Amino acid sequence: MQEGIKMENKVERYDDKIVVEPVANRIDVTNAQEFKDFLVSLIGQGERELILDLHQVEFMDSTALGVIVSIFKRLKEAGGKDLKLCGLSELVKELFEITRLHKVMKLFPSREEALAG
Amino acid sequence: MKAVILAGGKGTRVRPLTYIVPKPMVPIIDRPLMSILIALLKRHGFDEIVVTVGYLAGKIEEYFRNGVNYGVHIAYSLEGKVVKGELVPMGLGSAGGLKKVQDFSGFFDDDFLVLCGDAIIDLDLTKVMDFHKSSQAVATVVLKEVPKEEVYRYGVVVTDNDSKVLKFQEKPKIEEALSNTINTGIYVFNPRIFDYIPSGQEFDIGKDLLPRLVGAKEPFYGINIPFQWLDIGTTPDYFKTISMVIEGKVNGVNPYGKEIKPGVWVGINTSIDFAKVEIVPPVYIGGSVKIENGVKIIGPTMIGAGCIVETGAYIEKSIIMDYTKVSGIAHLTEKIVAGKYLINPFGISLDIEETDVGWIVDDARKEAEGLSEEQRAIIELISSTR
Repeated sequence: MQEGIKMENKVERYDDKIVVEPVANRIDVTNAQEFKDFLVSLIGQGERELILDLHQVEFMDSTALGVIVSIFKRLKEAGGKDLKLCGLSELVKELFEITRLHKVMKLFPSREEALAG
Repeated sequence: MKAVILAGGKGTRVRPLTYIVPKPMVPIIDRPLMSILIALLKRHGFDEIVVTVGYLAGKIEEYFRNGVNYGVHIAYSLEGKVVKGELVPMGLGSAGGLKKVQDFSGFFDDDFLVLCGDAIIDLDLTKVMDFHKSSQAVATVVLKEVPKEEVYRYGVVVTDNDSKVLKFQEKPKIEEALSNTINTGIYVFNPRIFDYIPSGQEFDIGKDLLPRLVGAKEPFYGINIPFQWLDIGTTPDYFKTISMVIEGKVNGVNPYGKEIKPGVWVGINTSIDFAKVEIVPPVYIGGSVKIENGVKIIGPTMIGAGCIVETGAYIEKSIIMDYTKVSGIAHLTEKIVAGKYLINPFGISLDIEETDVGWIVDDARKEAEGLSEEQRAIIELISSTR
């Protein structure tokens, strides 16, 4: 099995909001589960407003998209606000667009705009 | 009359399309680009054409062969070698390639035309040849004005009032450009030019040969007559050109199909209920295409031969190449889908296999694979919000 890229995530709090910034240039089948587990644990700890700052992530595959969808649903089910994403690379933006996820999820160019949105 | 088409380049700025085909073979709806040039050459009496090839040479040679289907004689000058079973291009530059042909057979015994195989043109080649012959020049270059902000992409040319070429600037900065008249890469040469080209080494027409001709004070002119020039130098150029063809804006190049309503051309053997598919022209649909009910297609869009478009798909201003399956969840706006690549008009591309989005767009000839848990979750979410 291909060795995955270890997921490190920077977390910053802005009042009730948590910004998670994956420190990895790829989220794919090799590390998506680890990323998911981390986000699930945040929700488990009571976080209800999550922003994913993806500006370091140049590549994602549909497994990673599935993780984002799963977290989107979990947050909703837990009574949280809609998941927000920011800093998407051109390739990641394309993925969201062709799957129509850009119409379902809130996407912002920058962290500042996501925090204000 | 004799002509050369320069068709050996790698087309790096049109990748990933040119991973699949060389630039002269990029499809212009239903035909390769070079076929448009061959037809133009034939119309103007050029019936002996040598094509210099290198990168993916076989794709060109296998398609055009000796020209029997085009009413012209075609032969190839290969610049490359087979190494460990693979053809490795070894380009000699535009002028070096001409010299190779001349050294091989003495092919050029009179004035001859040189075209690049990567631009669609409707140039009056007869007028260009007549101009060249009347000037008795060693070379004539076809010029064109471009917007000042684009000069950095081309060779800028300065002529005097008698159209004699005085100076060149190769891809200058905008602020340093001496004019906005550029070299289109279309030339007429007299065989005297071969006195200025060394054998067996890389030599470029624009960078090496033309400055030598100017330095040697050889009579060398520019001709600037209006014509349509669609240079497919980059992916955005390609995208724009295809859209223009579908919109009927490219002279002499129209989609070939049955125009079932204004601006909608369709090939034969299609499975489409036009009462249940929303099509906003201009749209070209190739032969053997299946479009399921409830699909929306907004033009200018091309759906290549053998494609399958599933219920619910949305396709707008896109180029979908042959044998693509577009799933019902797909939302394609300004995209090119070619083989395993999904490309946006700026050249950003996504490898369909690497990103595992074959469940959105895939090869229509493949057996459908089952969906993963993640893919099902995405579809479920999208469906619940539609």
